[in-house]
Amino acid sequence: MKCLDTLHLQRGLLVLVLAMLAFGCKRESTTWTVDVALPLIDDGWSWVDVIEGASESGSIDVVEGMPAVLRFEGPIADWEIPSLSELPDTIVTQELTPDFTGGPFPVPPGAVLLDSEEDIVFQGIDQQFSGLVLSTGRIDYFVESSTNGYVEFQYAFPSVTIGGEALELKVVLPPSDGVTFQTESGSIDLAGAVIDLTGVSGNEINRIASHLIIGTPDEIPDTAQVFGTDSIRVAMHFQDMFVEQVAGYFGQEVLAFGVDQNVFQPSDFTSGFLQVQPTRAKLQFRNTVAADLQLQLDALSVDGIAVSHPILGIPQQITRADWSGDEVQPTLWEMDLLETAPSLFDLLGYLPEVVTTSGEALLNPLGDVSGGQDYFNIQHPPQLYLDFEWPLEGVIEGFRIVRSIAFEGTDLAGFNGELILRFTNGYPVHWNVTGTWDYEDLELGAEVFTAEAAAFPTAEVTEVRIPIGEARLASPGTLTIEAAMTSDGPVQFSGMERVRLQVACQGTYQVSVR
Amino acid sequence: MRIWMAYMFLVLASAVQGQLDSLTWNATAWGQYRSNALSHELGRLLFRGGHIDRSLVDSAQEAQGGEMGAFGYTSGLAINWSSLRPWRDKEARLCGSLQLKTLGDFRWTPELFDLVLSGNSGHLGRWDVLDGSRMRMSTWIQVAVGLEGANQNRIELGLVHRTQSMEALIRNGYFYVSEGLDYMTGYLRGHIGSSEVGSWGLVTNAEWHFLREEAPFAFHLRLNNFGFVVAPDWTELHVDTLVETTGLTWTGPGLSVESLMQSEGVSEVISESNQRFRLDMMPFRIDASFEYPLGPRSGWDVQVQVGDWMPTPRAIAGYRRAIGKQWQAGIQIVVGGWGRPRPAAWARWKKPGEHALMLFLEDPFGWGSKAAYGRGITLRYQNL
Repeated sequence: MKCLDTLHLQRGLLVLVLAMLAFGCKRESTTWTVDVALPLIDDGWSWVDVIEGASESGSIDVVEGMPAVLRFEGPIADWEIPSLSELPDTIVTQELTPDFTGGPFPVPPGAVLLDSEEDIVFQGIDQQFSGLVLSTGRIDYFVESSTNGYVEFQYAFPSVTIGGEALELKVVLPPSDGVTFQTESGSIDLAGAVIDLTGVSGNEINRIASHLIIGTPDEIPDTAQVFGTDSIRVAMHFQDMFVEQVAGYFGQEVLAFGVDQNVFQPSDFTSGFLQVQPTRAKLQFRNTVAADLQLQLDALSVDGIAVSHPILGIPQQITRADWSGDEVQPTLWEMDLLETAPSLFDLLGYLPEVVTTSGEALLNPLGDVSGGQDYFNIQHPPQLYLDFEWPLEGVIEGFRIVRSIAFEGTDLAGFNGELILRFTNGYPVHWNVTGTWDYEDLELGAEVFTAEAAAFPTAEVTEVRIPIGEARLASPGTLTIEAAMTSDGPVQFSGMERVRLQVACQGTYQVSVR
Repeated sequence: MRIWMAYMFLVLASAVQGQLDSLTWNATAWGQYRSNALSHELGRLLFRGGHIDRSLVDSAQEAQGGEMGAFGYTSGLAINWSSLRPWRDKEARLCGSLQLKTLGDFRWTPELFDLVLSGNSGHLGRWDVLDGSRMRMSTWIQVAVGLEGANQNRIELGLVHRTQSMEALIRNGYFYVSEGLDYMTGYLRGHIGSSEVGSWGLVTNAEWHFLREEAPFAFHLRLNNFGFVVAPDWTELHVDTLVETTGLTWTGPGLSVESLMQSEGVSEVISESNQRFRLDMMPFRIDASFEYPLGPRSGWDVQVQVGDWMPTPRAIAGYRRAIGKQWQAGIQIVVGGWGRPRPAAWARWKKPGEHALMLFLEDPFGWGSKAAYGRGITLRYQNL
């Protein structure tokens, strides 16, 4: 009886456990809504933040004071010399044919059929190069043979070294069947190659010494059968050769000189006036080529408006740079941009798109005075250099800046709320800001918001609320912000001004936990 | 150690074998959960899924008030037996028990509950304190053998195998967002730990009963699961991170949009530690009960339970009465444990000399209500 009771109890418990498992394992997502409010962004832009992006290599800073002084010193344009930085492609071919008819004639292993030492001449170069270092380049080679026997090619370039090793090509072709040629092709990378261009004699220019040996390989015990109609050919194609350093005599080449310097992009700076009154503005030409130059600036214009200067049209002699030490010592020539008429900076105040300088330069105006010791390093090109100092004071009228920020869609399902944008103006100017948020999803209307910030120090925080939701966040879009600033007459900037942007979000989010 | 314990158990079991010719035993199955804030409906949605309406959250917040929120559950099966034959011609008899039990305990501050289920928007400018919020769960099986003396006083030594255990604790934590949404700070120091393999250990169970014919009352003292387990390969993930910002900058090495885009997520602020062995105390429980007869067929009793991870001791006071020859019933009031005061009722049917069956219901009115804060049932069979 007791055993029967126990059995019943066990069965009952088993049913209970199974029922708990069956109902307990069923699980669906748990969802609920939460109201969230969080700060997201707090960033600001000072003078340096705004201007730092204007030049990657120049030195720019703002010296705080009353007024603050903006200083810029750095290159604004590099002068490229294509004739010194790129070599023309050159093809060299050698073909060996027997000087007899008939055959076959046996040629034992180790026999030399051709042993030729000669210069490869680079055609189409007006300069007289004695040596160079390549940044990139390659040799594509092709060899072929119709000989019924193994043929060995050894093509050595003792004046071309890569990593300290002389360049040498060695190819062994197997016997031809008498109908089709045996061929082989390939490519040799010349990046970093140091090339002596003085040829086999050591006194030439624009020539690479080479040594070609064609024969039968002595390590293969095979006797070649050569017919009078056989042909052995090798072709070397030097191509895509760009120079890093070059030496020699660069000749008397006239080089056109033109610089279009973008100043204000119309798409970014749509309109307005900005009073620019620098106290120093010197445009320098820095000659880093170890060759004399004769520079003649013919014209200077702002958006097509010609500007005159006392030295325009007058040839300027600039002596060669000094490369005798570890660092190049450039030679300088400069012009004072404050002496232009009309004032270059009055024109810049109307936000022109481009400032154009044109002229020409003559290399080695006095001929080969250095005895073939000209030198050019592409890492140090001649540069136009600006030395500029501008006290930050003046009038600003309707100065408009447009910026666009592209957003990818964000999957934040279940969110509905708003972005809260707050602007705090630290500049002594009035701001009007208009923002437009365009969505790629055309069913979503564009969001337009405006904000106005009074001039510091009476400025208050300006707040804008932009509705956002699940659909709007999911759609890629573009936020375009157009800001216009106007000063109340001439104003001085201290250099410590800052615009602060704070972004927060507030809304309802549906949490889902599986 | 596992082999040694198994060997000891086999030795004890073979010693017991000869004593099992006649014995008394009882089996108890129980299950209960209780909270001081989570209604049955809200708890069901949290654990089984579905949409939680804001009204449920509001009523839970109202119920919790400013106290720590608590939710606990326990369920299991226990079989106790004792031999009727004396042990080696002495007064003592062999006894033993088998227990399968699962236990869980969850605590939370009102602010944590508010943050998770309501969000922070409604209480900007308030410091949300998270200290002491925790979660711990454990399941084990225990086999014990011992001796029972006069008045059913007994002591057992048991082998326990903890099959699952997990704990998480926020030692310190706070969160704050200013009313102007221009400042946020948060701090979290805590850990979550678990072991991927089972743990073994030893426990002691003991009972002492004051039963005297000359005394008009009875007193009972019980100790359950007092012991330890050794947890191998215990892994803990720790976090100790402070975030304070007025908002991210676009770029920069600190808290910026750029650095967050390049970060590896929460793994950067979590460290992991591994202990080859960790000694854990088992969640033991002490029961003390006092019974006093009011007449030949009625009486009252008081019981206090401490332990089992309960945030406060659980106290029970009740009235009992015999109904006929075979029935007995009682009503009780229960306070403490994981929840607020609630009623309980029980009934016992006995066939003298054979067996008895008892049903205990905690908060019986809550069984039909979604708004109740817990349910509990105990079913006991006694072989007399």
